[in-house]
Amino acid sequence: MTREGAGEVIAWTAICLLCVATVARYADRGGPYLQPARTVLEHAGPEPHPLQDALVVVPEARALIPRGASVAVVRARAGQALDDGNYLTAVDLLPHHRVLPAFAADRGRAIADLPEYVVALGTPFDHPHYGIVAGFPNGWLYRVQR
Amino acid sequence: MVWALSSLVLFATLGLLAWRLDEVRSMDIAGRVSVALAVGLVVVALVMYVESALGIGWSFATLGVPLVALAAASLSAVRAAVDPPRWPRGAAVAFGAVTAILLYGAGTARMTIGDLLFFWGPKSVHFFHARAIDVEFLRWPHHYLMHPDYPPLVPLVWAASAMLHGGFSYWGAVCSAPLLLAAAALAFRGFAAPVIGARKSALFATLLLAVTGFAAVAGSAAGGAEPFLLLFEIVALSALTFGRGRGAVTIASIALAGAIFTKVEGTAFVISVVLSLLLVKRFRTALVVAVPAAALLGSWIVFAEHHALLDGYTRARRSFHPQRIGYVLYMTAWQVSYRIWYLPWIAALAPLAAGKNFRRAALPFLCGLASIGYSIVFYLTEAEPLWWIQTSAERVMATTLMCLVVASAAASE
Repeated sequence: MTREGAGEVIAWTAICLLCVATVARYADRGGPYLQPARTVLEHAGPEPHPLQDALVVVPEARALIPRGASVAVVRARAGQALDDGNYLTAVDLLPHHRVLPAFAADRGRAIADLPEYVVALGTPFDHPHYGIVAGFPNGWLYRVQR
Repeated sequence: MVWALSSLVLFATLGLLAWRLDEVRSMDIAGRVSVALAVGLVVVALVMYVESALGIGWSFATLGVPLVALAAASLSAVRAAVDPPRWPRGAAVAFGAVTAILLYGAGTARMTIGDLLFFWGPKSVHFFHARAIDVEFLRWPHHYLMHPDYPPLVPLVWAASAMLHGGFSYWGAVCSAPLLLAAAALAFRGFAAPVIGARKSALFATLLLAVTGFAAVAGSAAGGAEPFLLLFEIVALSALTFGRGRGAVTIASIALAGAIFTKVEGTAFVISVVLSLLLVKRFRTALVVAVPAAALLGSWIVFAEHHALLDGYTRARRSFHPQRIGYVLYMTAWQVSYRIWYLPWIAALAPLAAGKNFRRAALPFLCGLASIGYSIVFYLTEAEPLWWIQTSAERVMATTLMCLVVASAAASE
C-alpha cells in the first residue's frame, strides 16, 4: 500500500470510529431515542437538566400571567425561594413580563415588594402571602395576596 | 428545522456577492453556498449592529429594504461556476451520513448547551423585541452573567431570524448547529479541492465534519456560538491555507471579522492566525486580514465602553496564576481525552503522518498550537480553573482539532 493510500485508510477508519463514538455519546444521554423531545434540554445529559422544569412549566404559566406583571421563577426548598439558574431562563421565556430574581419572593420581604406572580418548580411554594392560581405537571403558579 | 434552514438560506443569499471571486467560482455549488453563508452572516450582523449603534430601530423599512436590496444586488452579480470538482459518490454518502447523525443529535436534544437558555436565547429574544441591541437589558445588574460586552453576532443573527419568522425558535437555534458545521466542512472542501484533488478533499471534509461534530456533541455545543465560530474559523483557515489569490484573502478577512464578532475566543484565534502568517513570512496577508477584524473589534469595544457595558475585554487586567500551569495542563489534557483515548486527536493527526507537503501544512498547524496556548492562558487567569476546564475544554478544543485536520489535508497535497 502506498503512503497516500495508507493516509486515506487511516482517515476513513477515523471517520467510522468517530461516528460510533458520537452515537455512543447519544446513548449515554438516555432514551427514548425515537420520540420527539419535550424540550431542547431533554437529553442534554444522563440526569434531567436543572432547567428542564422551567422549560416545561413557564410556557404553560405564561398564558395566565398578564403582560407587564412582575414574576419570579423559583425552586422552593426548606421554605426558601431558590434560583437554581432559572432566573435567566425566565428572562428568556417571559420577554413581556418584569422578571425578578428568586430572592425577591423571600419570606422576609415586605409584601409591597413581592413579585405579583411566582412560578414554583418541582415542589409547592409555601408562602403566607401567595395563593395558588393553577397547577401544572411539576409546577405551580401563585399570585400574591395583598 | 425549517426555521433554521430558511434563515440560513436567506443569509446565504446576502453573501452571494462572494461568488464573483475566482476562488469561489471554481467551487462546487455546496462550497459556494457555504462561503456565501459565512459572508451573509457577517453582512446581516454588521448592518444590524451599525443601525443599532446609530440609534436606528430595526423594521421592515430600515432593515428589510437594505437587506433585500443587497440580496438582489448579490443575485444579479452571480456568475456561472468554473469547472467545479465533483463529489465522489462514496464520500458524498459518507458526508450525508455524518450530517444525518449530527442532525439526529440536535433534533433529539442530545447536543444542546445550557448557555442557550442562560444568555444566547435571552439576548436574542430581547434584541428581537427591542428591535435593537438592547443596551438597558444588557446593563441591568441581574443580567451580568449574560456577559454584557460579549460580541453580538449570534444574538443579532437570531434576532434577524426571529424577525423573519415572527418569533424566536429554540429548536431552530439548536438545529442550526449541524447545518453550520456541515457548511464549514463544505466550504473547506471548496477551497481544498483545487489543491489536493476532488477525492481527497471530499475525504478530509468528511473527516473534518466527523471531528468537529463529535467535539460539538461531547461539549454540547448546539444552541451556542461555537458552530458559528467554527464556520468562520474553518472558512478563514481553509482560504488562507489553500488559496493564494486576492479572493481567498478577501474571504478570510471577512470570516475572521465574523469570528471576532462571534466570541471572545474569536479574537484569540485572529491573533493566532496573524502570528502564524507572520511566522510563515506572509507579512502582507497578515496585515490585510488583521485590519478589518481589528477595526470591527475596536468599534465594538468603543460601543461597549460608551454604553458602560465593558467587562470581559478587561480580562487582561485580571490576576494571572502561572504557578497553576502543571495542574491546568494535567486537567485539560485529561478533559480533552474526550473519554475515548484521544480518538479525535488521533483522527485529526494520524493522516498527517502519511503527509508529504508540510510547507503548506505549517499555517494551520501553527494556528492549532496557538489555540492550545490561548486556551491554557485563559484557564490560568482563573483562580479556580477546574470548573472552566470541565465545562469548556471539550468544546473550545474543537478549534484546535479543526486546525489539525486542515493541516493533515494540506500535508496530503
